[in-house]
Amino acid sequence: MKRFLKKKRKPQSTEMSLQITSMADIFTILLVFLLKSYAVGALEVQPSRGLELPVANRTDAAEQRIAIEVSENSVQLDGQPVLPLKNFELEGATRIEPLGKALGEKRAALGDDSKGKLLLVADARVPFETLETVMKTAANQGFADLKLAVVQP
Amino acid sequence: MISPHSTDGGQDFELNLASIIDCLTVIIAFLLLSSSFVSYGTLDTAVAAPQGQNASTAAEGQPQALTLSVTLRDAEHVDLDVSGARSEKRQIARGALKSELESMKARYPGLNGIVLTAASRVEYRDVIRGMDDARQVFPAVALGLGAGGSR
Repeated sequence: MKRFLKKKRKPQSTEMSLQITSMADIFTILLVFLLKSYAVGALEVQPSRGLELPVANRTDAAEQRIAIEVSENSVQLDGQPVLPLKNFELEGATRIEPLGKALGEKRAALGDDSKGKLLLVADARVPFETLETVMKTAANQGFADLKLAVVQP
Repeated sequence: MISPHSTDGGQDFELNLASIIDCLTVIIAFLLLSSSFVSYGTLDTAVAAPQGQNASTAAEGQPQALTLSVTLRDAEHVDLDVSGARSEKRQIARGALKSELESMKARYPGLNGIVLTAASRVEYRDVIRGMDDARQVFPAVALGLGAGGSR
């Protein structure tokens, strides 16, 4: 009997096969999800570090334009700082002219292509007073058609 | 890629998924690193003339167009000001803005757009919140200058 049992026992295999069919399924689902959420939108906004955009539910069609960014420390025109800010506010002695001058130069460089259109990328904590000053300056240079950059929830 | 499983000439075969998994891993890693899950949008608006500058410019004998100005006084209070052919001024709570605008639209069918402005210290997030509410009733919302302090 003992001999019979010994004969029946098979040698233990050291080979192991990983069942990867289910893993392939998971990866495929992940890939589809990521491709679906990989939105290459028409609007490419790259806010500065620490800039917190406001949230809005209903938004309009995006369009690339000359961008003014109002952050905690500066006002930037197409990524170039044109005005210093202190805690979202213009300091007492700060003059607004450099922004007007920079906008005027942009307008002259672009000619009719700009058509007075501007994208305002402002931090949610900016007081309206600062924005008002920036918008007045832009309007004086012929930029009265605004798009306000927001985050969709 | 495809490896025969049986040697008896049958049609059984096994797909080698290891290389596919490798490709998927690389693609998923790339997509995870490069994709942004924040979705940006824009709100269309225009800069309106300071309050009072565009008023009373209608020609003699013609009825003045109705204008509704919404002024955010602070986070809790909003002033509504109808001017032109009719006149009405009132202060409402911020939470009632949307319902008040709906009732005004029903009362004044000639109103097509509004001018939104805010006091100096009102934060931009509150302006956008007000604009978001207003745009649900009036699609055309202009940003007015002049209610806050100016430099």
